[in-house]
Amino acid sequence: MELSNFCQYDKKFAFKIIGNLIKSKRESLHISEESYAQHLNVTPQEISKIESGIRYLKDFEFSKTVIFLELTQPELLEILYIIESKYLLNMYRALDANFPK
Amino acid sequence: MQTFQSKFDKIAFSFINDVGLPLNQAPTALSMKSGDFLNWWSQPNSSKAITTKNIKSLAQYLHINEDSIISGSYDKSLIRRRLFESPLSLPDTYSNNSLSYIRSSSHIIRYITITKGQLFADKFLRDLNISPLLYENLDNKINIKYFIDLLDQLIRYRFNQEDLDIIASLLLLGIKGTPLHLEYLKAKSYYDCYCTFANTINQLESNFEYHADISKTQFHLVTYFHFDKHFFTNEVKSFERLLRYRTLFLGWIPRLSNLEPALPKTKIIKTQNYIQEIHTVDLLDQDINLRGLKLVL
Repeated sequence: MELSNFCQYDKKFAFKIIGNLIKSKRESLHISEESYAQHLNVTPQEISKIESGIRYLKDFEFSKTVIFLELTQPELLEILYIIESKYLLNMYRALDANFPK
Repeated sequence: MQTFQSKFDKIAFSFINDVGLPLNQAPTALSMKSGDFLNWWSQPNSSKAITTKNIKSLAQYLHINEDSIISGSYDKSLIRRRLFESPLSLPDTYSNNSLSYIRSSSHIIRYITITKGQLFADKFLRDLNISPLLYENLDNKINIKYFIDLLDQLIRYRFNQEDLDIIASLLLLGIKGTPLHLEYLKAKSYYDCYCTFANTINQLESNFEYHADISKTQFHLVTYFHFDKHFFTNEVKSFERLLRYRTLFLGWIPRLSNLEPALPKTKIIKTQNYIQEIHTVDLLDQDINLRGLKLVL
């Protein structure tokens, strides 16, 4: 699954959710920020930014992350579903008179 | 009277005595070596053995809020049931009128787990005195007060209304691949989807009384929540939060059948005895795909 799949709706939110997933997966695997940073060839400070969605992952970093943190297809589909649902919600909020005030 | 070296020694000693924590379980519960525990237990006033880390471990072991141990406001009866009956025992406040299946909130816990991690999600549940293991079986039941508290706690944990709206649209995360989801996947139209909803709503919850009327052109759903039969919160905001959640939740039901969401027109009538919700979806409008969305999933 490519990074562009996640970014087609709301890039900012997508990277926030991806960052959350990365952080929770990294912690559950007991991988330190330093090891992950070394793997991506970035600084640990950048990892903090990636995990909080401030610094956007590049395509090759995303691919490396998927393998390094063993992110599975169902996990990625779940976050895609969340991103897509938020996009739909915002659209319905703007366009649908039945959206709760 | 015992004197203690630290307040945590005193708290742990009193707690173990009060709830009757079996001494063979205590070292594990406190994350201590058996020898260290026995030394401390035989002379609890001789050293500072217990720290916040041990209290945290004790709370995790019993699936309860750690602050309640420190403040002494823990539910003794619940703890004893957890120790001697089942770790899945519910607090009394959530076990009366248990008419909701855990599957109706499993997507919320899944969302918290995905976005904040397993440890955070477990702590979130422990703060409600709920064992995370409860979600291992989606057929476990609980009452509506739990659901209201769950939404309130999300706000306390700094999730905002937008997050709650997103959560209302994520039922799929909790039921993906289950027989209920497979039922929804068989539906090829809004009509089929709402028929499935009407036939299976009791697999989610039955706190509300549901009267569904489905024709080829309209889905009409009237629900009643009777105050005399159920817990009712006096917190108007909490209940309004629940009703808003339910409207969005209903609007996203078609997504379970890979259809676009369809927000109902909703009217809420409050009387002294009950709350009535009237939801209407015009199915003809939904069949015309004006928005032309191409959804990934």
